[in-house]
Amino acid sequence: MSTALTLHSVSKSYSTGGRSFKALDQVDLEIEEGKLVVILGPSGAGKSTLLNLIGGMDIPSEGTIMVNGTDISRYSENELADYRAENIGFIFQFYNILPTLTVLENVNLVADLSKNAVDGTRALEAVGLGEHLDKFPNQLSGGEQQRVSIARAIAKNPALLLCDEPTGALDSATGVTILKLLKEQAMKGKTVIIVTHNSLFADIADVVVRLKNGRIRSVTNVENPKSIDEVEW
Amino acid sequence: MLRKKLLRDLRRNLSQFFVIFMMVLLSVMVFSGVHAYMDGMRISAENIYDEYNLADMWLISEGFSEKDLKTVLSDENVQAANRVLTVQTAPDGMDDATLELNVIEDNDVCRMYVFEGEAFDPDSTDGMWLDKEFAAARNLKIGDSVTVSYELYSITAKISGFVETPDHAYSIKDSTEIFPDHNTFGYAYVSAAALPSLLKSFVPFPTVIVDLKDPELFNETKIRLQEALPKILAVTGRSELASYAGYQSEVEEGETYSFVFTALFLFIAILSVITTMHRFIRKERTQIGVLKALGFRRGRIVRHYISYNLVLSIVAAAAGIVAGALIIGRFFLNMEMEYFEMPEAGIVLLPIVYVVAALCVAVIVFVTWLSCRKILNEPASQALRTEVPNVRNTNFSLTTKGIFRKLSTVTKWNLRDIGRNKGRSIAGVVGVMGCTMLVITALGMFDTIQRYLDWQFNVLNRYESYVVVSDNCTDEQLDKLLDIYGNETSRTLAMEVKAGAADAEEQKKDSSASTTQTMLVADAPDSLQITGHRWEPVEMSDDGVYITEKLSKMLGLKAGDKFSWHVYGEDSWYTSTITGTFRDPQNQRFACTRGYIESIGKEYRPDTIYSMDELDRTSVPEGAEVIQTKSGLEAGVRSMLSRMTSVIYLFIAFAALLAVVILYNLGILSYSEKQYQFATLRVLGYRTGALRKIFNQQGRILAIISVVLGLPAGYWMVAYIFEAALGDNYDFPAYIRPVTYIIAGIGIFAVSVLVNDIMSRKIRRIDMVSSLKANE
Repeated sequence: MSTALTLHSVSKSYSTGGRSFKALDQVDLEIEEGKLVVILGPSGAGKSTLLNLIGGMDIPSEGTIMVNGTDISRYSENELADYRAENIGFIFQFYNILPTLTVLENVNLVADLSKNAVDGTRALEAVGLGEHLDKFPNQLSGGEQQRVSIARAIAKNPALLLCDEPTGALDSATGVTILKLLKEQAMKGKTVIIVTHNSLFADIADVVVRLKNGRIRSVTNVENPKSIDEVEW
Repeated sequence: MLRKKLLRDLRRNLSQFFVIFMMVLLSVMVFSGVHAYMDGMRISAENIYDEYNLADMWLISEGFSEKDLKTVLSDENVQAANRVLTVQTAPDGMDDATLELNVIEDNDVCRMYVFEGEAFDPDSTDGMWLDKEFAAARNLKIGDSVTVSYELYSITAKISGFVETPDHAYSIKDSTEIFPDHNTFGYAYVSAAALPSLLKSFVPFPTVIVDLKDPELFNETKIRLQEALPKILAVTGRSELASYAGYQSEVEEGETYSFVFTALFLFIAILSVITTMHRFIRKERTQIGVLKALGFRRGRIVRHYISYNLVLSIVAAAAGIVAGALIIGRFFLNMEMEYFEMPEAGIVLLPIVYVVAALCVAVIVFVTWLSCRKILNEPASQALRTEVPNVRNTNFSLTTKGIFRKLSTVTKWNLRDIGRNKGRSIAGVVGVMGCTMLVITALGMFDTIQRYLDWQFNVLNRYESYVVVSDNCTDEQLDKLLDIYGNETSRTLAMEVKAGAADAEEQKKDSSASTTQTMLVADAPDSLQITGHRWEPVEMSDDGVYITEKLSKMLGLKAGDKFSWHVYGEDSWYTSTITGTFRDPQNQRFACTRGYIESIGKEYRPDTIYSMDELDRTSVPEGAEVIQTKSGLEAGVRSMLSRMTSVIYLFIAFAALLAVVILYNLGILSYSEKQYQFATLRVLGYRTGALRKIFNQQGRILAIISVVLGLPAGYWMVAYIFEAALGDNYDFPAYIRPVTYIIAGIGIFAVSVLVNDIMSRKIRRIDMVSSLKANE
């Protein structure tokens, strides 16, 4: 199995009110393709910062982030945009779908961005929303909106799916459905990285990364992850 | 403590609150400014008319004797009366000028307001009291000698005073002029004692000006005087005096646009309040919850949020009152006083201005309360929770059907975003539409007057000069004049018209339904032309009388109708049929051919002779009163137009500034509403340039809608101004050249695109991470 991405000595510092603090401190991490990776940690551990750096939404203060042999930490603004367009599928806690576009339009919106994009209708059918193509987001439940978000992410056919608390705004039953969809994507060969503070996610992951105070405390490769239905949510 | 919060919030949301401030300021400023000069003009006129005895009645005959004057004075309702002889003279050494010379014996009525020099002296044999504005334009000084010639006579007098009189507030030479030109036309008074001794005992005074004790009893007095003096040919009142009517119509003109612009700016202010406060209160929702949880009463919190716009609008309204009066009021008053002669004219602030300003504040406060009340009424527990979006049936479904399906996703997104943010979109459209309307109005006024010039001087009047035949012209002199200048002539009849009754015989008997009108009797096929509704030439037949469209509406006469009339000074009544209508920009009257007049048995004697040559105005032959050239008339209007240009530039600059302020504010609102969506799109991989295009597309859609709506609104405004503001005598159809629409449309669109483009640069600075977090 080949490496999806490698972080080497990555640090990220922020300055607020004249004071500087390190959100990430000398992080080294290697993630293989096709794995479901769960990044765990309390608030302020640096989980979202790590996700943002991997997703090309931000650049590190120090270190390198190698994706497909290229260091994205040296990318320009437009190169980062192209990187996100081609390689990354984001799934947010609050869905972030555009309220004035229909479900299908929301998904098709990204089709122009990626050379490998798949048909929006197929992506929506894959997440079980084939009946709701022409609905607007405010006509859907929270779980359905998150599925639109997943469909939008997979429609680009990206190598990496980055999920920031993907079930944080959902009830547990809906959350399970969403996790199953994400697990399914990992089984299809995509690398899925989930950032969460919910330690139960560790049971279903292939790799568990634990963060604290901006540093990696442990990286655990799980031999036999549980199926989602086995976990007591 | 909340006061500090208020000040800090105002500072933090400066641009949005600034627009509310500006719009309230502008709406009050326009109202205050226009009313300050308009009411100032009106009140100054009322005072001057009152204090300087503007005549209430003008009696016209072929000549009033001293005995006649005594008869007039003996009427129970006559306070004072003076005999006047008015002639148009050519002052020596002032080639193109005409001086209206008024010979008077006393100055009890239409008294002179003396700016400099001596008061009028009835015994002065060499004094002249000269129109102050004419003197200024001609650089004349007290003590200068002025020689004026009239027919064979000439009078030389020394300027004894610079004056203005209440009956010359709007002083134009004749009906061919619209705008006073003080350089080419003025008026002067001399005492009858100053006339050459030969003339003194033979002076015919064709006018008596009368000051009535009770002007309400005008009609009764008129009937008594006509009975006492059968020689009276006509009796007119103030409303028929060009000076009085012209001044009044100018005052009323202000009413027209003060209301429209005040309402427009207030409407934009209201929309700005709705959008700004709605967004602001939503942002403050949690803080409201906290304040409630801390124990602040709802009323206090409501007062706190209302106080934002209360404070703002009170300051704006107060500033608007002052700035309106001092800037707009003074500017327009000074401009008006270039045309009108009204001593002591100044700006005035009447209570109505304060009432309207207070109303504007009240409206803003009320709208603020309406915009906030929903969130302010929420219980603390609810306000502290994250707001759950209201899931309701969407109204975007239209854009998922028909031709909309073929639009790009981005266009659909923009269209729906416009529909979703109606308040902001309407505010933007109305604002930019208003700016377009302002520009079109400014340029359209220019176009309309240019077209009037073309119509008046190239289409209707094709002569180069005309000679006014003197009333005393003998037959021999007239024949000589016709020999010199040709046979293109006309006569204007002053007549009493009865058009109210259905039957012509009844009309004659009906003493109440008469109006004073004029009829142009034309015998000048090459020099004069009348035109129809769309300027098409109308060939007058000898079968009847033609009437201008506007007069036909005013009198209720249409083609085929009959009406009765007689010429003032003649007893014979005639019944004529309206044969057709025509249109004239500045004379609402009847017209007929010489052939028609002669066919009903009336003798035709011309009072004007037209020439295709540019005549020398200074060599007026015997039998002629004055020579007027078309180029001279046109130059007067063109000089007024050039002065109007500065106002037009001011309008355009103001409109552009307004557009920038409105668009900038709405751009900020639009940007902040879309910020998280743009952050999402950036995360998804959209480049900044692509997002700027999306943002700009919406701005362009709104700008196009605004401009498309603003262009006809501008036309409507020009039509409204020319229709409502000009007097009954004028018929100025609004005309705006296609190129004007294009220039205005492109100009406003360009400003809109520019402001949008500047706003869209903010997209580059979107912090994806914090934008998305902020949304949470």
